[in-house]
Amino acid sequence: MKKRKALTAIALSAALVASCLAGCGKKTETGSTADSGKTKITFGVFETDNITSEVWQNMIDSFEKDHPDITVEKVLATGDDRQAFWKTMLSSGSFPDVVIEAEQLATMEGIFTEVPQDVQELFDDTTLCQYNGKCITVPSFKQYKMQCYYNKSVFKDLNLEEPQTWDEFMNVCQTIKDAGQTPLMCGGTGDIWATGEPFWIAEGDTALLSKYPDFNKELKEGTNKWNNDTTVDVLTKWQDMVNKGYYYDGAMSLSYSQAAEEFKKGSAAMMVDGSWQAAGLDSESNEDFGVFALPTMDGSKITVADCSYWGVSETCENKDAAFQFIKYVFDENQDVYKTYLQADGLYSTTKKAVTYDQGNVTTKFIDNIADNDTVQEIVKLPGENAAPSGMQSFMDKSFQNIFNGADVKTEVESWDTEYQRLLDAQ
Amino acid sequence: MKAKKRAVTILQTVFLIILAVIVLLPIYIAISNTFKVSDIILDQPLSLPIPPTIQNIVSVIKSPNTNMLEMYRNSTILMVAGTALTVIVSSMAAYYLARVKTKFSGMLRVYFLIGIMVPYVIVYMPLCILLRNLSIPFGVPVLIFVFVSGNISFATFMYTNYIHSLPIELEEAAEIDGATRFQVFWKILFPLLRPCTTTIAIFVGLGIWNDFQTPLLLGQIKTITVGIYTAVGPYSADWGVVFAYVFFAAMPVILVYLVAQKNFVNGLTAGALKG
Amino acid sequence: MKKKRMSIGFAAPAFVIYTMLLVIPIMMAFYFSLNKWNGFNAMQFIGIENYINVFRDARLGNAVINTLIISVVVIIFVNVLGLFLAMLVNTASVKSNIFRTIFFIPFVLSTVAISFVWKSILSYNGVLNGMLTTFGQEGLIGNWLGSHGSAIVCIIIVEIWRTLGYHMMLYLAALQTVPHELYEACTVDGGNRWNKFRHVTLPLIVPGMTVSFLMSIINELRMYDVVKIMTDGGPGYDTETIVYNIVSQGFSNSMVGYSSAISVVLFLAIGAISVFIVTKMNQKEVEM
Repeated sequence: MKKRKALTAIALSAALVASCLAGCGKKTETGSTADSGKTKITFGVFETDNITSEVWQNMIDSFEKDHPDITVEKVLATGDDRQAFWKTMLSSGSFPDVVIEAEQLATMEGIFTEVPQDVQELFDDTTLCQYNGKCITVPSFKQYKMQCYYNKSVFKDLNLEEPQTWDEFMNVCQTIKDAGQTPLMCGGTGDIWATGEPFWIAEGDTALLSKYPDFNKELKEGTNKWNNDTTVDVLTKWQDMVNKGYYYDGAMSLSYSQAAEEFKKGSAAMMVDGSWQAAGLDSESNEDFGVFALPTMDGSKITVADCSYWGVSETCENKDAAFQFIKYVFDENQDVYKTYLQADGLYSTTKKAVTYDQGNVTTKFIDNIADNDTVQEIVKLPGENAAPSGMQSFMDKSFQNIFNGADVKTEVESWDTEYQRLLDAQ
Repeated sequence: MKAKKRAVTILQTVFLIILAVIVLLPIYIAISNTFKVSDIILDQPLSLPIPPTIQNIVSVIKSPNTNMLEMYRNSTILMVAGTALTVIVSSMAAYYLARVKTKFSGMLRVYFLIGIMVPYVIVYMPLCILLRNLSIPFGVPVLIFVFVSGNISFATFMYTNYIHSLPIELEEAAEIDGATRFQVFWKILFPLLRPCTTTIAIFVGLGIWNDFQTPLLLGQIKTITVGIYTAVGPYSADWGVVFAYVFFAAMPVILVYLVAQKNFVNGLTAGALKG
Repeated sequence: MKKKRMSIGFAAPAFVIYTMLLVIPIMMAFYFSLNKWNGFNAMQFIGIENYINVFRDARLGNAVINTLIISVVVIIFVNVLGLFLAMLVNTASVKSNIFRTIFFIPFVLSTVAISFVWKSILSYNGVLNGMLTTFGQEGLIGNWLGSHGSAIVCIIIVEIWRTLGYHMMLYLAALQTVPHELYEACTVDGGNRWNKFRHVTLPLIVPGMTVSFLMSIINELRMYDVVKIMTDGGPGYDTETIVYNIVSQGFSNSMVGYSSAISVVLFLAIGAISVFIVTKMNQKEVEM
């Protein structure tokens, strides 16, 4: 009798746990197939000041209207470290069916599924890339990276022209400094990337890639190192700029939005930033700021432009629906694609190019680099020679160390160590 | 002699007042600046919000990227369900541990105790992978059980000690009257555990409400803490709005604390003292 | 009368939940720590290599040092000041009650809310610098959260502010166990305030002190939230703590094996410290 009660109790509690587990488990199954004969796909995105939830909602709504048999559920990456978010989702098996920043995750084998030929054909060949000989991601947009925004009134007051060479740029900085103002703004502890990444992309990537066009490949094969004269030179010059007081005093305790806000308020005359800033200024019809391409140190005419990639998960149960969604956005209804691009000042990667009316700042931004060759940012290069994920955030921290006076040589040495360690781990 | 004693008392009071001001100042800054426009915040951070503005609160509620209701709902569900479940399963387990004197029950007691020392960071990654292998998606239901698992050690330990201190006669008498063990526990013993339950409920409930790491790392469930952490990002340039978010996170807790102050102090310190 | 046997069923639900979601994950962490694994592809058994790396990792070493600096300063501060405060408010007056209520408030608030408030105060364009400008003290303006050295001080201040009231309450509870007659006896023997403290209070609150020390050590070694929100470990690595390091190795770098190894070491360290303190303090109790 007693024994039976004991067994009942155990069974009950087991059932309690099991039913909970099963209940949750079922949700995935019914979730991805159908409630009422509808196919469902999940769509992993992130949102920014420019790419708001409305942009995604617009995309999803019009797709669902034209494809009533498929529903799309948005999965929003939150928190500050999106790569960490996707990896958590991956580790937990809740990875979305379609993910909009696939380039770094694609370096891990078996995450994304191969893209069908007809989908590949929609895109510009130069932007497609392969991992282990397979095309597993599609390029979603091209984005021109870091140029230097400046406060027009400061430049006017001090009779400054947009600098064409590195020396002229240094002169501009010094003149502003001598006039008792702060030349440059950047972000700090709130958004680690905002400290050194913009400057590094504009100067470091360009310097390295003009000297070693195959830097990524060489790095991976071990024939080249981060720790070379070019890297050390760029970073030493940057540290000098910091030491000369070119940067805003409190920069290191600002988040990116705070830094951008301070820049717009006039706390510093210039800020190195991406094309999204141009789009943001245009959407406010703000005419107070101009933009020039930061002169490269060696005078080479190259510009960093990154492509971003979407991927369809290998574990997706409705791959057809997922690719249908991709075809819809990039081909069938390019209006939604256009809205997406326009929101953040992005450029299309499809064979059927998509253009939109650009505001003044964006137009200037593009004119600045019209004659330049474009290259891909070293740590964001997709495909076989991609840098291991985690390298980016490691470098961002390292820039902060350098900003605060750490020895450049030691820091750059640690890049090589970390690069190997991360490569090893993946 | 008397004068000296007086002087000491006054000195003590002055010291306490200064310290109290230091402790309260950040809280005052947060609350008063919630109701000021952002320009004034930096110029006169200490002034009273006169005239008060609800602009910051409104912009938080209206913000398209935050859903205050959802955050409150998730946090409340987690807190209530997590606390209730912890209380139920732990008190039952403690009943067994306290009233059965076998080697096995002794071992079980130690087994439950280990959890107290665990730095919780150790389990996040394995939990993610465990959930994947069982194909359970992240979500509030799973998180409830995760919180329960993290609190069982503490709660069981507290209940076991408490039940030990209660006389067994009452239970025996009830059993003679023909009550089953189950009835004895729920009808006789559980009501007697009330002081202990209050303590545990506050410790566990507050812990869940304020927890940041667990919902952040296990699927970024939008609780009040994670929600505010992610929402503040784009608005960090505007302190008024940041303060308004803090206001939403802290106000319920401060109010409940001021009402049930004694219970809070007992709940949060008793656990440590008994341990 | 035949004694009814107690059913193990009572302990079963707790046992199942606890085992499934806490014990098994801990065992998994032990297992992961012996492997090279990114959490996704095939695992590769590498024995204790991860553990060897733990002791070679300079960035982790830096995090350990940061954690120790924060812990030691905070632990000393909150325990000394906490005891002192507890003695001051250890009276049954309304005044004491109000002070207790006030000092305890920070501890009931979420660390997220607290961190944002302090961030807004200490940021370069935050409240503190704003106040300094208003009072015409521009010379004192500092980049508190962004400079090498001062960021960690900010973290320490916030931690002390947050936990002081809690430790005061712990000591208060301990003080209330000291029988009043003993103080009177000491006065009769001609003891002054110091004698009373040294020979009556201190020996009797050793258990409370153990608890307070232990709690502060455990809390500070697990430190994450405040650092994550206020400085995100920065500038550079200046305020990275052990737990911050574990999270970034595990979640951002997908080094599941390695991050598990660090957390296992942390687990063992906390266990060892706890046992050490409890036994040491027990000895002290006897001596005193």
